[in-house]
Amino acid sequence: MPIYLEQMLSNAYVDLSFGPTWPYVRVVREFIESFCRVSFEEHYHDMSERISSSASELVENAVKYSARDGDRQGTRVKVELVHKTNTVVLEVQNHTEARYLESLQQKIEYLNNLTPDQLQVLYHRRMLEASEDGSKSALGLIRILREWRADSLEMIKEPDRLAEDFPHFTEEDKKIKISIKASFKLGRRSGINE
Amino acid sequence: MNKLGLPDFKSTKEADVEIAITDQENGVHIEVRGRLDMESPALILGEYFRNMHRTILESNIGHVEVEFSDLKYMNSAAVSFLSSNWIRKVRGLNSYQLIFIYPKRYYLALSTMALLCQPNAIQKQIA
Repeated sequence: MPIYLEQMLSNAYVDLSFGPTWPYVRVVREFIESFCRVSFEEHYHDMSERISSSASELVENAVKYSARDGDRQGTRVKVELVHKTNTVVLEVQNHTEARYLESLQQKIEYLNNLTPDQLQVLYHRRMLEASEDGSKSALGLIRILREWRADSLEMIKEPDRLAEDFPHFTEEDKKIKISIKASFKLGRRSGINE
Repeated sequence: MNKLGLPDFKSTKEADVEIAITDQENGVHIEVRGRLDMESPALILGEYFRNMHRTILESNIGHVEVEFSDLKYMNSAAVSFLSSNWIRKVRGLNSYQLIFIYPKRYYLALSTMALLCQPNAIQKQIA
């Protein structure tokens, strides 16, 4: 592998923070796509599309479900090549309200346990439901796993400092910091040590 | 003006998508270009698609080719919108045939849409 590529891969990460606003979704997607194209595409075919499309779906969710009263800590997107596992990890972090968390956690756990065939069946079912009532429950998460072939999804949550500072807040008032991580295993052929 | 009498849909401030209609023998070719990444596609495209479907039915058009080869991105809201605005309307209807033409990157979404439109849709994947 040329030295410049080795150096590039060893520094292949990006970390962005921005206010959760809809027009930024496209900006972030296109930036992540460019970043991945420069960083991985030469060796890892179609990674830029898979990661940027997945990022876009997660950022859309972050924008829709971020705490309303000014998420000054912003929405954060990280993409990083983890050398130890030869995996590209996409992470989208935001502050949200406690009431959204349980169902999101359940959806992610459920989807992670499905085989590709089961995901395909669910994809069909969700499309059919969407055609009937316009709903798109978890369609974005299913697309990340099935269409853009993420190996896994993970949700990590931690109580926000605001919730600790204002103990009189009700459960509904509490804002929780969550991270959704999607992992994309790189193929053996494209291993970074070759 | 095409035989549907519908204008091409030009991009709006909210939507970076263009829809161009050209006539074919016993049919029309609809090309969707740009990005289907609106927060609420139904708000921007809903009326246009409703008119299109109604006009196609009234015009006794045999087939509608829908080409996505220059579509750069389609979010889940758009997948859901297309499903509810075409699949639901065309499925089981004894009328026009939908032909989806799409690049590999939309294989799963559009082949699933075509499957759900059966027997009124076919799909062609292009390189």
